[in-house]
Amino acid sequence: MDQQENNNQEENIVAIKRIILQIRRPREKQGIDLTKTEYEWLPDARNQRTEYTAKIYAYRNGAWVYPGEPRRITFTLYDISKEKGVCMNFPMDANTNPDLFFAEGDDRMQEYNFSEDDTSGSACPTKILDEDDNPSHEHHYLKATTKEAVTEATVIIRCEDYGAFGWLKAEASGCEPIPPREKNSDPSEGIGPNDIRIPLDEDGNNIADCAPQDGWGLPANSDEDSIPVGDGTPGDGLTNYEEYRGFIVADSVTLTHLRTDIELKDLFILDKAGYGLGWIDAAELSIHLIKSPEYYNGDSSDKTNELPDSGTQVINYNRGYATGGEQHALRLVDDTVAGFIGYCCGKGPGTPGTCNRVTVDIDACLNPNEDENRLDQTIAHEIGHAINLWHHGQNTKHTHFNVSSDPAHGTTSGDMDCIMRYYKAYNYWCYPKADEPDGCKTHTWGINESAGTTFCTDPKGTGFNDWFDEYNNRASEGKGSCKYQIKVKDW
Amino acid sequence: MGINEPKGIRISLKLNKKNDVSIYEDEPLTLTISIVNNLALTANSANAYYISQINDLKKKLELRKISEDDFKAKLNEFEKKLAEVKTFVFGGPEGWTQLINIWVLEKDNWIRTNWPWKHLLHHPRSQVVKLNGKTSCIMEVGLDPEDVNRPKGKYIIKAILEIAPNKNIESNTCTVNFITKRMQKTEKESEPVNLNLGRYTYKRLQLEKSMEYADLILSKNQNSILAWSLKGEIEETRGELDKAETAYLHSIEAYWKQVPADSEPPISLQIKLTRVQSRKLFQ
Repeated sequence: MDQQENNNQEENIVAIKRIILQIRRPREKQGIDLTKTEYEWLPDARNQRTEYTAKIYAYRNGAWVYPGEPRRITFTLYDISKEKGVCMNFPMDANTNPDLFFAEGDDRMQEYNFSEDDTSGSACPTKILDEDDNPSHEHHYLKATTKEAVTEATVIIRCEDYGAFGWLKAEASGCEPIPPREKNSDPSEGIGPNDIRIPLDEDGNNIADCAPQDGWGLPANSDEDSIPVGDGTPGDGLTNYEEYRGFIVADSVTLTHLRTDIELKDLFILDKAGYGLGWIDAAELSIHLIKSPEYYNGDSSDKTNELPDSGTQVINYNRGYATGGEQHALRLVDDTVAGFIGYCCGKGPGTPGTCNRVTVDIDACLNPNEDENRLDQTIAHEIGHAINLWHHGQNTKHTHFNVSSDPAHGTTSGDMDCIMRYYKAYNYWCYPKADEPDGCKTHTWGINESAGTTFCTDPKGTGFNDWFDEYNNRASEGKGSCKYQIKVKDW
Repeated sequence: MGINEPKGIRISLKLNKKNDVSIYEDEPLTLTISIVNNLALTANSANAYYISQINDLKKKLELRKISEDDFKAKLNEFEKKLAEVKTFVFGGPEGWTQLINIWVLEKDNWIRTNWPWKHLLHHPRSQVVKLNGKTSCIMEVGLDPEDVNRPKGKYIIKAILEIAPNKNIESNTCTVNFITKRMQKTEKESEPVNLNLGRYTYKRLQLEKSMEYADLILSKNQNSILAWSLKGEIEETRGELDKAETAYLHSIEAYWKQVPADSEPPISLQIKLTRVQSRKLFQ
């Protein structure tokens, strides 16, 4: 036996002794954990990819020590949201595939086997805001298992909804779950589920804790917007989850995704006329523009005294989780309605759900003989009817001295600076007075009457409508105080 | 002029209120360009509530209902929530409409049209405009019917606003097909076609021609609200206030003949009537 053989024999003996020792030693407990979702993480439907890492530890001397024994690790996504589309108003005819799934095509996911594909329905949109910002994909896998036994594995999850939520857990054979840990930190102590919420959502309303729409844990179906107060009805018809999941808007010409404010009442408008929204900002609503009919599920057909066609002009048409009901958007068009300068078509005045379109007649508004402010005032006035505003009084047929006049408490009554008041529509207002020749006394506004620029807060007549106390030309009963009649919530 | 980056401005182009049109030789083409500052529009609406709160605070301070310290603290709180409103000022001695040009696609190249455009209207009427989100700019130009210098065939066109030197904003594109024949007799005699011609010629201040179209309609339909209204506008523009008043009264009468008695009075016509009566009273 030469020296080389002696050495080999000794090495073999040492190795056998080591194996014997290992076999005799009591088997170490193995554990698996998972990294938590970062606090700032918000779901983004445009091919957003997020990493989560699981590690296997051995339990030694009262603590989890990395590495433990290699195992095949299985990641499972469960209770994943399957909301229609990618946000509240895009796309139409969308599928309900899982909003979170394993990114099978990602280079970092080559060492995985995938299972539990939950794909159905139409293809997912490949364009959300820009071309190919959500590349096409055939599968929505909810389970991914490493091909080899490992002690650490990082999985990539793809998001396809601005309101995505769900759970992720990591498992390995013979491993106890260890509560999740912060990224790049030591393992937690003890044993407990390693399941994590995506996004981070400790209050469990399925709204990311970091999002303002979480409202410190308010229920997802709350709708308590309070600005402006309007008629006192809280809300704008969009629940906190819907405001969080958001909308695709064209506020800055290019398309953007917007999570709206849960304190401000929102109003969405498709400005097909292209003339802007005039002075409607006086309503103090938070107004957003949408680009085309696909962002509210299509135009209603044109109707004069009917509600919009069912399901059309609905800004939250992809609603599902935590919804309260349909909320409509308005369509602003340039059209001629014989005898009118503008018109709110539908069954209003009422909320946007009562109105299928707001029209302005550009030829009438921009006539060279017409007041230059007529267009901006008319747009705001007609939109006003679609947010529950009435005229200051009934517009009745009334003639006095063969000169156009309005009876007291009619359309020209009330605050002269109110957008909802008709201006330059009559030369006089009349108040009943028995000793006058026609049973009416008239009072003129003169030629200096100008367009209202605000929504009034009091029915009391001002300016030329405030002739004297006995004959103050107040708005008619229940009208006026327009600012405190505003309502946008459809349900 | 204090020009900012033109982000947020939208220019819309329409031809006879549509994106794509085909027109006959004896039909006018009206091109409407509107310019809206969308970014300022939405910022204004988001700010409106906070601005009203700031105004209330200022009133309270004036009336000494709030201490200076409280005022400053609350003012700071509201001001933080205000979104920036970028406004754009453009125009000059020759008017803001001079900064807009119409371009046509020819052999894969965009070139400025030398078509015989005629100015119809613009709003606002000032020479320099401030696009602040509360008001918009609108310009209409047209191609007269029967104008031999009108092009023939199909074209893609767009509008470009040179809001500042080397800062252009482009509109959407529209398609126009100039058909090389005239309307059929029945179509030409229809009320909508004559009304369109009447309105177009009125905007061109061809008042005699415009009146002919209005009269033609009324010779067939004495209850045409829109024809009476057009007639009133023509007379009003001519300064014939009595005739204008009569025409407006006719249009209101026609309206009441066509709608139920409890309908809303025709406010547009009422405004016109009032305007004329007012001018008569104060002239």
